[in-house]
Amino acid sequence: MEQTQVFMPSVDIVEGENAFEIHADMPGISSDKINENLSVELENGVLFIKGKVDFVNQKLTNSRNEFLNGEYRRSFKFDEKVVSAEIKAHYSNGVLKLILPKRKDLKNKISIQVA
Amino acid sequence: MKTDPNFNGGSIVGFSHGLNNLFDSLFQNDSFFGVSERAKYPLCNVEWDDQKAILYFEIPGVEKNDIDIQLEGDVLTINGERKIAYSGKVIQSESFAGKFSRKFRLPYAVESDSVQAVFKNGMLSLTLPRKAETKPKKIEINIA
Repeated sequence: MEQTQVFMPSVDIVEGENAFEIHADMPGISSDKINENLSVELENGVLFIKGKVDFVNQKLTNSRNEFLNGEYRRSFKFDEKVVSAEIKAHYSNGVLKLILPKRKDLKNKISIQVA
Repeated sequence: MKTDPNFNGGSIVGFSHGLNNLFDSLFQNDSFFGVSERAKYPLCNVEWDDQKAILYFEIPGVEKNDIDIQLEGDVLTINGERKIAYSGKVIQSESFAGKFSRKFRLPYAVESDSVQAVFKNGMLSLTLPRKAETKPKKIEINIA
């Protein structure tokens, strides 16, 4: 049976002026079937990323592995008051980049009351 | 690929010796640069038989032009740089960034002109055919 394991991808998180960015190292996800193998979901302020590694070797006589076939999984908790649901996702060179725009309506909500 | 039945026995010992060499040199290299095993980058899977060796690297976030591979006999060196430039405040930083270098001693010298490289989705695979003159030769036994 093939070994299946769950890995937590390494991530960098960056806060820009208008958005948060998450960069997750998820190499080896087949981009031919990207929507099948990689998913990003947001539910109740929890962002959940999942990706299936598609590592195929030729089964030669000898082998040594530092990484295995399996699945990347990681979740992030975000304040729904800060982050809007319009998340953009982009997969390139084995890195998943997510852009989480900050809610613009936050600023608009603050109205100045005049006595 | 089918296992060569002739490959059993002594050959396997020879190859596992090669394997130890491979990982020994790799560890020496890493300790030389003061990098802990956990921080190894790029991670590498390797497989081989008596015809060829294939190395697979997990190399996320690196552009093709920032990877340099050198072959010298049975030693393969991979050098490169992962360039990361974010605009904004970095809240969390776990990914490897900067220069990397790893060295591997292969089980045999390879035909450097026939190496095949595939770079896709942050994975690099190198197929390294064994140098013809290093392949085992059958020795005829003459009976007097």
